[in-house]
Formats: sequence, C-alpha cells, structure tokens
Amino acid sequence: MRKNSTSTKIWIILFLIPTAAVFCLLFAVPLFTTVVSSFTKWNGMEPMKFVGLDNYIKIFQSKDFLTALKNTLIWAAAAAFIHVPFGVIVSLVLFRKRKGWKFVRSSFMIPNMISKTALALMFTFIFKPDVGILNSFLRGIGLEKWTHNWLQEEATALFSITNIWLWYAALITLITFSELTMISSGLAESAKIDGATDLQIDLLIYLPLLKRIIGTGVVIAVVGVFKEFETIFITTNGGPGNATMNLAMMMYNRIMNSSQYGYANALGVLLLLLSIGVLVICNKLFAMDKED
Amino acid sequence: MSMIVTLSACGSGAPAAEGGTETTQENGGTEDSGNSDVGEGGEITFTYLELGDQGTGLEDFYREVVDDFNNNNKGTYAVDVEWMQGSSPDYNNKLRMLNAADQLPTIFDAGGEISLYNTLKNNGRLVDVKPYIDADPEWKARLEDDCTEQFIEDDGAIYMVPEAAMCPVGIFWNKDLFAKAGIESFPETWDEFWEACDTLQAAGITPLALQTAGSAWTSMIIATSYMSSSQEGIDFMNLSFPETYDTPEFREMMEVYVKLFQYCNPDAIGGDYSLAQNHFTNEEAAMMINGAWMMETLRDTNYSPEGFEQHVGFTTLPGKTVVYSWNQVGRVISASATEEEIEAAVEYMKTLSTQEHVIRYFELTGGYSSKVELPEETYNNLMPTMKEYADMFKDIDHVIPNYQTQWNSIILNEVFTTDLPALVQGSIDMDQFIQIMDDAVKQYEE
Repeated sequence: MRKNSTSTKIWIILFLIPTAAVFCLLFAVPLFTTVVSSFTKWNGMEPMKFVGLDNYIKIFQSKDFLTALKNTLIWAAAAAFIHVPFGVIVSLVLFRKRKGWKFVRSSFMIPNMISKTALALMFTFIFKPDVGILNSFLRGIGLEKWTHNWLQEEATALFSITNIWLWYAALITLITFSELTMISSGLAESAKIDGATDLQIDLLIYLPLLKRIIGTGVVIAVVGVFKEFETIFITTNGGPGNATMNLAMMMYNRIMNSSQYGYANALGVLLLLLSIGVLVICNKLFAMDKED
Repeated sequence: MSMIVTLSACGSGAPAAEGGTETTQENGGTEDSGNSDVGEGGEITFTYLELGDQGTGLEDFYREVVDDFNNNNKGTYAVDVEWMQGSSPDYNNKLRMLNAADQLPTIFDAGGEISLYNTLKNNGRLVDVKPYIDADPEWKARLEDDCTEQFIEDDGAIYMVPEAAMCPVGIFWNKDLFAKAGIESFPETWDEFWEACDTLQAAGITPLALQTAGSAWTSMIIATSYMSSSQEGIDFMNLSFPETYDTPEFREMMEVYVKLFQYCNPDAIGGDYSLAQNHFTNEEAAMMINGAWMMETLRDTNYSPEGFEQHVGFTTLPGKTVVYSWNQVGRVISASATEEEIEAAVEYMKTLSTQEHVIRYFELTGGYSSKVELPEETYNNLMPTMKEYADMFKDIDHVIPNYQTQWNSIILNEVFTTDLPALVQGSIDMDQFIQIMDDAVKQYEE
C-alpha cells in the first residue's frame, strides 16, 4: 500500500515537471524579470541600474498615469456593471428558449469570433466623421448637429471606444447559459406552481444561484479591459490628448518611444496588482472561494 | 540634351520618411523574398529587413537591386530579404523588438527615426563602415561628399550609409482642380498659398490632403516648410533634438499648422497617411505633399483613376522650399553580424550606389544624384509630373531638414498622434501643446 502511494507520488511529480517547467520558463521567469526590472533604469540594452522606487514615484507623479488609471477604472466599471449584466440578461432571455433562440445565440457570438483588430478597424469606419455609418445615419434623420469626429474629439472618444467592446458579451452569456443548464428545472417549475413570475424566478432563484459564475465573468471582463490594447492602438493611440489612454497603451509607448523598460515594467507591475485586487474583491463579493 | 544633376547643396534622403513608406496596409505583416535558394552552396547569406512599400516605386527599386546583387554574386554572397508590410513607424517598432531580442537583421534602414539610430549607435549595436568606405575610393566617390561628412560621428566612425541620391519632399497639385477654381499656376508665396486655399474652398474643392496620425507627415511637412520664411526658423529646424519648443518661430509654425486644418477633409484629424493619399488620388483634395516616390501611385490604377498622372503637377512648397535630410534613409549593419556577413552587407551597400542603380532609383523614386549624369533618353521618357520634379531642382531657394530626423521619438510617435488632434480641435491651447512638447523632451532625456 505504502509502495503504491510512493509510486503514485513519483508519477504525479513526473507528469507535473513539463507543466512546471513551461510555467517557469514562460510565466514565472518573465514575471520575476518584470518585477525586478521595475526597480531599475533599463533601456533594454545596457545593464540594469538599480533606482529603488524611482519609477513608481515618477509614475504616481505623472498626470498621464492618473488619466490612464482613471480611464482604466472607468472601463473596469463599465465591464463590471454594464458588460457583464448585459451578458447575463441575454443568457436568461435565451434560457427561456423562445422561437429563434438558437439563431440569436449564434448571431450574438459572431462579433466575438472577429479579431479585436478587425473589429476596431470596422468601428474606425463606422465612426468616421465624413463617410462613417453613424454620422451618415444621423444626417439622414436630420440630426446633423449630433455628428462628431467620434474617435478624435475629446468629449466623445472614450465613449466611442467603450462602445466597441461593451455590448459584445457573448463569453459572459455562454458561461452563464452553461451554468443555467446545470440548475435543476424543478426549482423554477415549483416556483411557477407557487405563482412566481418569470422575473421573480430570474431575480430570486436564478441570480443567487449564478452568483459565482457572475463573479467569474466579472473577473474575466475586468481583467480583459485592464489588458485592452489593440482596440485603442488601432483607433486612437490613446488620444486625442490622453482621452483614451490606458495603462497598457502607456506601457507600450514607454517601451517603443523611449526604451524605458524599467518604467514600463513598473506600470506592468501596477497593472498586475490591480488585476490581483479585482480577483480578491470578486472572491469576497461573490463568495467564489466557498464550497457549496 | 543631357541633363546633369547638379545640386550639391541639397541633401538626400530617400523615402524612409512616412509618406514614402506608409502604405494602405494596416497590419505589420511580413513577406519573405521568396529566394528559397539563397544561402545554399556555400554562399554567405545575410539578412535584410526592408519595407515592402506597395504603390510606390521604392519596393520595385529595392527588389531590382536585390535581384541584381544575388545574380551578380551567385556562389559568393546572397541577401535574404524580409519585405515587411506596414508603415515606417511599424518598421521602426519591429526593429526595436528585434533589437530587444538581439535578433537584428544584418542590414537595415535606421534612418527613418534618428532616436532609434542614436540608441543603437550609443549601445554599440552598429558596425563602423568607415574603414570599408575608405578602402574603396570608387564607392566613396559615388557617395555625396556632404552626406559622408555629415555622417562622421564624434568617434570618427561612420555607422550609417545614406542613399547615393536624394529625394526631397515637395508638393503634388491637381491641375484640373486648380483650373476649376480658376487658378492657373501654383502659388509661390505663403500669402498666395492661403489665397489659393480660400479660392479652392470657395469653389467647393478641398484644398489639402492631410493627416495627424503616425508622425503627421502630410501636415507637419507643410508647417515645417514655413520655417524657411525666416532665418530664425531655418536655424530652429537645423537644431537636432531641440531642448525647448517654446520659441516664437515654433509657435508661429504651429499657428500655421492649425490653420492648415481649415482646408482639409474632416477625417484628416486622426486620419493616417493612406487616408490622405486616397483623398488626393481620388481627386477629393487638390494638394498633397510627398516625395517623388509617390509618382508611381499616380499612374497605378489600383490607387488612382486612369490618366490621373497627366494632370498632376509637382513643385516646391511656398517660398521655393523643399524638405529633406540626408539621414532620412540610411543603411546600417548590425554589430552582431559575423565578419563575412559584414563584408557581404557592405557589398550590398555598394550595389545600391552603382551608376546603373542610381539612374533606376531616379526613374522609380525620384532619387537625384549630383554625381550621375541622367541620360537624355531617360529624361525624355519620364512622365510629365516627374519631368516637373526634375526641373524643380533648378529653382529651389530653401532646403528645410525633415523634422523626423530632428525631433525625438516621443514627440513623433506619441505627442503628434494624440495631441495634434487636441490642438487642432481646440481641446488644448498653444501654451499647453508647447508644454507637452517640452515635457516630451524631458521624458526622452530621462
């Protein structure tokens, strides 16, 4: 018996070695380098020079950082309070399996199958000031004065970029829908017999049972917008001014335009801490770490 | 008549500048040269990253040179080219990434962005090619004296070898649209230029094809050419990496910049180079600045209507000014190359400057050498716009350096892309913009 147990442990270790090696090589080592270099002045070519907390001090003194952080947090809030609830609502509607629900489900998925780059380019054309669909539509219905250079005016740029991803919540819908199918149909049927309306069933039965998967959805969505880069890079590059700048874009600029790897990596560390913070908060709020 | 190009005072700079290199392709994809046999049979093969510049004559020219080099050096040397699709900033970013991974190609163009060149040079990433130039008097004689002198660094080394011919930036103008507005010739002074813009606009024609994205090539060139209006302006433009932009000349130039946007399509704000080019080649704008490398686009029906090139003129910017710098294109060799690869790459550099290739360079891109006589037949066969370009060289009063070679990469790639739209639309005022420029100087110096 003891021999068997030792042998099993050896096999477990053997099977884990490749995964652990890949993890160390592709994740742990770069993460360690990122954290270490965030305390250095480093241009990627010369040896790193230790500067303590200088990069972090500079970051917190930078107006650009505060704007980028504000924008990042606005997107995080939009993801948590609009994107995820919208995805959950769609899944609840689809779960009723009314006529054509499969078509709606597939259609809702399509934008998620398009690459972010293509989607961003598509919206660049939609938001074009002269021939864009949005302005053409507004002109067509006599609302000429509502037209804008949507992606390049400070007042509209952030709002416009947000709308590029905000409503495409198919991933949230999918995971929620899959969770819904796991819930015993008996619960809803009993409630119906007791006279509960569909809305009451959703609010009082399904939503509490979906709490943890919604928490997972919030983590996925918020961490996703923390990392958002392609959409901004393609549409506005963070402008006009800093109107659409976020932390990921700021990191890119520091590396590409001034080779400030230490500074950029300090931003990366802050981004990582933000993501961990979201994970911890969601764990608590949605009781994701508790057993059934 | 045989035409001898004599413009020793004028520098070169071929088209690594944004206008010449940005294409309509949005991605930064790459294409292999297809030379699958290179490197075989004991040949010394070296790598070369070049911008696939679809729609202009640049790519055609470099492909010809590469083919000639590989054919003439079969069994000895072979160049393995990666044709990268994308814009000049994409190209520079790719070089940055390759450099970070210590995987720079043997030979590449480091002239597009001087900040990058300086970083590579200061960190010992480039080969000193001066001994090779000194060892080959014939090659040295083919290079413009001005440029070789300019390229000698403080340590006496030469790291960058420019093209053997120059490609100044002037202005393309649509003669038909000007005629429709009742204007017979291109304005020579700034007052006449603004008057022409007003007249075109009054006739329902958009005067200028502009952009703010990238490094704002099509708009910033016009504005910086305005600096030739005063000696102080010229002096400012000759400063490499100015310490401050808070000068009367720069302010005045930026006022001109803002004014330009009264005369363009609304999507110029935030628009990129390809958008500006499309407006011009689709006759939606009457003027666009660029170098002669855009000539091929004018007769390429993928970009322009049939016969478009017949009614497009090319001339100097107001004040008989053109814009260029020798170092806007310059090939360098990576220090990580082996001695054999370095020698092979030097041979490739020499091939670029042979008389035959300099003439082809002129035909395809407008590259002009003071050391090579342009055959009469070549001149006679040029399309009308190219003839105007060639004739323009007799009538240049001012040469303003290309701002891309004078200002730092944060300004070019970050401030311009994000803050020029804000300035033009009035979200920030001139004082704020200049403060942002000066902050970018400080940040770059850090």
